[in-house]
Amino acid sequence: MEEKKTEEKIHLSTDLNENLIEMRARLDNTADFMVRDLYINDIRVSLVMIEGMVSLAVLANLVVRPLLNEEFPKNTAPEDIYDFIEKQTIMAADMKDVFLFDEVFKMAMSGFVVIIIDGIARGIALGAQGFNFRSISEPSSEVNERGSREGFTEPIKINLTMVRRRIKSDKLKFESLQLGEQSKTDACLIYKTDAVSQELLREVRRRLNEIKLDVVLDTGYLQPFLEGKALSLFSEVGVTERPDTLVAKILEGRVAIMLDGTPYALIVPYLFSENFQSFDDYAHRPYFATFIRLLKYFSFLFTIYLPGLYVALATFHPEALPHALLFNIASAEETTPFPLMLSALIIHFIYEIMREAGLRLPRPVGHAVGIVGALVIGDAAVTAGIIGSPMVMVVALTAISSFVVPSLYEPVSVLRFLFIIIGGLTGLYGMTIASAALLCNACRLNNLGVPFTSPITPFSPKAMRDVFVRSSWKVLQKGTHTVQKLRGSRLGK
Amino acid sequence: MLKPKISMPQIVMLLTLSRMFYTLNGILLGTGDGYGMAYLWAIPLSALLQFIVVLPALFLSRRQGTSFITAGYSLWGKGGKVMALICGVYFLLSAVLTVFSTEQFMVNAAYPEASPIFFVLTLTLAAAYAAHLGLESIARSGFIIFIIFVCGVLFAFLGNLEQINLIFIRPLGTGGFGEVLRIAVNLTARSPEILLFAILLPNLGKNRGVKRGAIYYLLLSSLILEVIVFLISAVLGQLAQEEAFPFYTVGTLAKISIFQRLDAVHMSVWVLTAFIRTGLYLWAAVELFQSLIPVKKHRFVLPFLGILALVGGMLCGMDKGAANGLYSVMFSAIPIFILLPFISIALLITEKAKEPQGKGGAGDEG
Repeated sequence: MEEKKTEEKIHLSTDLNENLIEMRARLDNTADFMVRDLYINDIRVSLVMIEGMVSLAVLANLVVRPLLNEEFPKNTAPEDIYDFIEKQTIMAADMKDVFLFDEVFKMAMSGFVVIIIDGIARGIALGAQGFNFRSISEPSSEVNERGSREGFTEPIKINLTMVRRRIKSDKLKFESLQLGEQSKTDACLIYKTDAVSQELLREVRRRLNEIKLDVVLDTGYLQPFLEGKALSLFSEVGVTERPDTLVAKILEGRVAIMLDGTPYALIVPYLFSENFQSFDDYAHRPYFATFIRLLKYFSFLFTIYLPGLYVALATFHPEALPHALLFNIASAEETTPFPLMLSALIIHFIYEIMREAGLRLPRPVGHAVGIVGALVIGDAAVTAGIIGSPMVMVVALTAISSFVVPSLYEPVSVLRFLFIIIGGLTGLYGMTIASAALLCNACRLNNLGVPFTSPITPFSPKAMRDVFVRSSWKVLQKGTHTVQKLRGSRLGK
Repeated sequence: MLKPKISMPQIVMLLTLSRMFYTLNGILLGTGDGYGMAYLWAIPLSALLQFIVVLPALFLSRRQGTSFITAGYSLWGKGGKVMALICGVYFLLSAVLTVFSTEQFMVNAAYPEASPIFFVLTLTLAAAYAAHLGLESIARSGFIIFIIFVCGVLFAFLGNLEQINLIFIRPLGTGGFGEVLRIAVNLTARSPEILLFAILLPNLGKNRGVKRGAIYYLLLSSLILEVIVFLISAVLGQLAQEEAFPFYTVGTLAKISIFQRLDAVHMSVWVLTAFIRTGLYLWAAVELFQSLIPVKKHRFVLPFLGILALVGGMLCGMDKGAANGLYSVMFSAIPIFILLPFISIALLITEKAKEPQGKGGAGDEG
C-alpha cells in the first residue's frame, strides 16, 4: 500500500487537484511557485510555472489566447484539449511530455511552463523562457585584436546556437546530460561524429558519470573529474569563453563540455602548446603571428625563471653576470636589510596581494590599487631601502610577462615562488634539477590518451607547423592535424 | 617484460644523451694518452665495435620478436632471471656511478664549499621521481634535454672559436692503430647504453627499424662525441689530459658578446644530462628487479633501489677505494663484450636447439 502511494506521488495522477497539492507540499509552498487556471468547458487546465522565468507574452500568444478563443464542442474530453495544445504550440521553442513530478519541477525551474489538464496523468512542458540574462558580449578573459567579439553567455541554449551557427555540418552533435544531484544543471557534450574518437567519447562520458556532486555551478567543478590521475600543476583541460575557439577545437576531434549558468566551456583533451595559441594568430600574417607566438613562449619562461634566476645568479654565480650589471646589482642590494631571496619573496607576495585586491575591488575604487601599487612598490619601498631597484625591475617584468599567457597564470604564480626559494637556497643547480623534475612531470601527463606535451614531445613534424611557428593557411590547409593522430603517436597503449 | 612505450627516435636520443654524460668529465678518457687524433679515430671505430657487439642481440630480437632479456626468460627460464639480476645490478651501478660523478663535479668545480651529501641526495631523489614516472616521461623530457644539450655544445663551440688551434690536436703517436684500437675498446667498455638498447628493443612485431635505430644511435652519438673531443683537444691540447672536467673548462673559456664564464650554463647542461641518465638507469634497474619478484612487492623496488643508489653514491664519495673499484668493474670489458654478445649467441644456439621440438616463441617473463 505504501509502495503504491509512493508510486502515485512520483507519477502525476489524473486528479489535477491532487497533483497541485502534491507540488505545493513538495515545494513547501515556495513563494515563486505560480499556478494559473483556465477552464475549458468546465475542464480545469492549470499552467504551472516559476515566477520570473516565463515570458508571459509568449505564453499568452502560444497557449492562453488560442485556448480561450477556440470554441470547443460540449463533449470535449481532456485528451482533445491536450491534442489541441500540442498542435497549437508547434512553434514553441521546445516541447516535451512530462509524467513525473520531478520532471515537472525540472522543466518549470528551467523556465518552461507546464500545462496539466484535469483527467490526464501527464503534462506538456513548453519552452517559454523569459528570464533575464546577460546579453552576448565580448569575452572578458580572451580579448583579441581581430576576430569575433562574441563570447558565451550563461544560458546554455544560446551558447549552443552560437556553436551551431559556426559549424553548419550534420556531423555536429549535441549530447545533453544533467549534472549535480540537487542542482540538476543542464550540460552538453559537443563533438563532431566523424572527427571524434569513440574511445575518447566513452571515456569522457564515464568520467562525467562518476561525478556525484550535489551542486555543479561552474565548469571548474568538472575539471578535476576530467583530468588524468597524475598530479600536476598544469591543467589537462582547456577552458574557453569564445565560440570560435571552441569550434576550432571541435573540428580537431576534441570534445567540448558546456554547462548552463556559466560562459566557460571545457575542452578535452588539451595540450600544453595550446596555451600559447590564440585566435588572433590566425588572423594576422604568419610572420607576425610567429613572432607573437615565440614572444609568448619567451614570456612564459621569463615569468617563471627570471626572479629565481636573478636570485640564484646574484647569490651563487655572480661571475656569470656582466661586470657593469653586477656592480649595479651589488650597490643596489648592499643597502637593503633583507637577503635577496627574502626580498624577492616579499615583493612578489605584495604584488600578488595587490593583484588579487584589484580583482575583487568594486570598479569605482579599483584604480586606487594601481596608485597604491606604484607608490608602495615603485617608489616607497625603494626609497625606504627595503628592496633594491633591480628587484623592482624584476617584479615589473615578471608581472607583465605573466599576463601574456593568462591561461597559465595559476601554475606560473606557484612556480615563480618555488624557483625563488630553490634559486636562493641552492643556486642554479637546484633550479636545474627542479626544472628537470617539472619537465618530467609535464611529460608524464597523458590525459585521454593524448600526451600533454605533444606535438613537441613526442615530436610530430606535421603538427609543429602550428606550435612555435604559425605557418600560412596555404600550408595549414594541407591536411588538418587532429587529436586522433596525436593519440596514435603514443605507442604501446 | 620491459615494454617500452616510446618510439625508436626517442630511444636514439635518450641513449645518445646518456652516452654524452661522460664527455663532460675526464672519465671518458681514462687512457692516460690525452686527446688527439688517436681519440678522434677511435670514436668511429668504437661505434663499429658496439655495432658488432650488439648484432647478435639484434638478430636474436628479430627471430624472437622480443627483447634480449625476455628471450632469456622464455628460453632459459631461471637462467633468464639470473640475466635479469646481473643486468639490473649493472644498471643500478651505472646509476650510482652517475650520481657519484655528478657529486664529484659539483663539489670540485661549481660548489666547493657545499656538502657532497646534498648533491647525492637531491640528484638521487629527482632521478627516483623520474624513474617512478616511467620511461615515457623520461624519453619525452630526454628529447627536450637533448636539444638543450646540443645547444650547449654549440654554444661552447661558438664561444671558443677564437681559441681553437689545430696544432693542439695531438697527432697519432707511435702506437698507431694499436693505440686507436685500445682507446676504441675503452670507449666501448664505457658504453652501457648499447646494453640498454638491446634490452629496450621494442616489441613491435619482428623489430621493424631496430637495426636502423642502432645505426642511428651509434652515428649520432659518435658525431657529437667527435665534435666534443675535437673541441676539447683543439682548445685545451695537452691540458685536457690533466683536467678532471675538460669540457667544463672549455665552457669557462667560452665568450659570446657580453656573456663570459658560461660555465654556469654548462653546469646546468651537465645536471640535466645526469638527471636523465640516472633516472633512465634507475628505471631500467627497477624494471629488471621487478621481473624477479611477485607483483605485490613491486612497489617496494623503487624505494629500495633508490636508497641503494643513494648509499652507493655516498660511499663512493667517502671512500675513493670504493669508487675506483666501481670504476674498474663498470669499465672493464666484461659487461659489454661478454654479457651482451656471448649471451645473445648462447640464446640463439638454445633457440636453434629447441627448434626441432617446436618453435621457441617469445613470451613474457616467468
